[in-house]
Amino acid sequence: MKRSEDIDINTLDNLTSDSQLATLAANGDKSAFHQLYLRHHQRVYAISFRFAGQHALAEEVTQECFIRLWNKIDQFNQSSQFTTWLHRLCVRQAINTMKVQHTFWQRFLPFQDNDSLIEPCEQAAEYHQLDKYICRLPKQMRIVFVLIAIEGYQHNDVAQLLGIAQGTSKNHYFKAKQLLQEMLS
Amino acid sequence: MKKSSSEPHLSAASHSAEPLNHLDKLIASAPHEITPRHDLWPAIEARLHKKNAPSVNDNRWRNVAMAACITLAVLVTWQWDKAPETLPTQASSLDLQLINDIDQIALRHAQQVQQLQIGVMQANWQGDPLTQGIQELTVAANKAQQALESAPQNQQLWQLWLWLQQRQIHLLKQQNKRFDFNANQYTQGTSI
Repeated sequence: MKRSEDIDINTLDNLTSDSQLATLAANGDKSAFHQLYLRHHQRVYAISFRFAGQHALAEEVTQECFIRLWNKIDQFNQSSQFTTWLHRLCVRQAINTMKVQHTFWQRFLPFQDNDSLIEPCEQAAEYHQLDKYICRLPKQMRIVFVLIAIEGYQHNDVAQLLGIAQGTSKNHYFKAKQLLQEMLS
Repeated sequence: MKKSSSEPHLSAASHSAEPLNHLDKLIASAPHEITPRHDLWPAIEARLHKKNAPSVNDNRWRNVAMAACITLAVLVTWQWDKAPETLPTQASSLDLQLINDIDQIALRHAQQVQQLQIGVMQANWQGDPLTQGIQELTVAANKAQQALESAPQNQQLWQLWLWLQQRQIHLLKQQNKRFDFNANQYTQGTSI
């Protein structure tokens, strides 16, 4: 019997659904998982990049998301849509990675003002105008804005994800929009 | 999840209609996909064989240990150089009281450390960057304590010593969490 690793990746691309690829990947098929990566990494990277506001961290976040996906893919319930499941998993993983990254600096630079730890902002021309402004927002405000405005989450979902009050989520979103409007005007 | 279609709490507070419209247009036109600058697959693929390994990034903990060492080296050197300036020629009664306080705090801290280490005693993590970071902190805290006993009225040394103890406890708790995570990761439910 031909092993799934031997199947040409283009064949997987053309003939196999996400659910089928997930099943193959859950059985340890790296080619199938690679195909899932090829299909979805840009979407995951978009979330990661907007959360992180810079490429280096976005790449780390994206990698962590796919490692998490590999470790959890056997828990994918075939009755739900793979993209929805993947999106939720990646958003949670991205938030966790961002928290770990944040506490890393807090832990070792206790006397430093956290506001001085703002990451470099990406200003490359190829990015959408909104992304150039989003990265200037403070971290938590940025994550709330991305989740609500771009990813379509509700405030109660965001509050639950970030472990904050719903009012705080609304406040962050309101201030983010204010700041972005000021940048645009 | 359903996308928020209206934000009534924003409309009243908006500065002007034009930038808001512009912002809304930008949001609507923002791409849902962005191409990474580098091919991330090789780095991901390299870690796929560690399917059952903890999700904690080894490189990150290596960075943590390095950052801890550098920070401590700078702080201890700086404080060590300053300590002789404040050395008393003769121990005053206040100094004796402070030295007594130092001993008591050190004892309580040692007990707390011992308690936290029980959980991870059986985990052989020699060479683990986090463990190395804890060991570095222990050495630095001992040095700071020695310096403080020579200059018990030096406030900066006090701050440094207490901070080192806090960091030590914090990292030990982190290590315990990792230990718990490793022990429990195969019993996780179906939640993401």
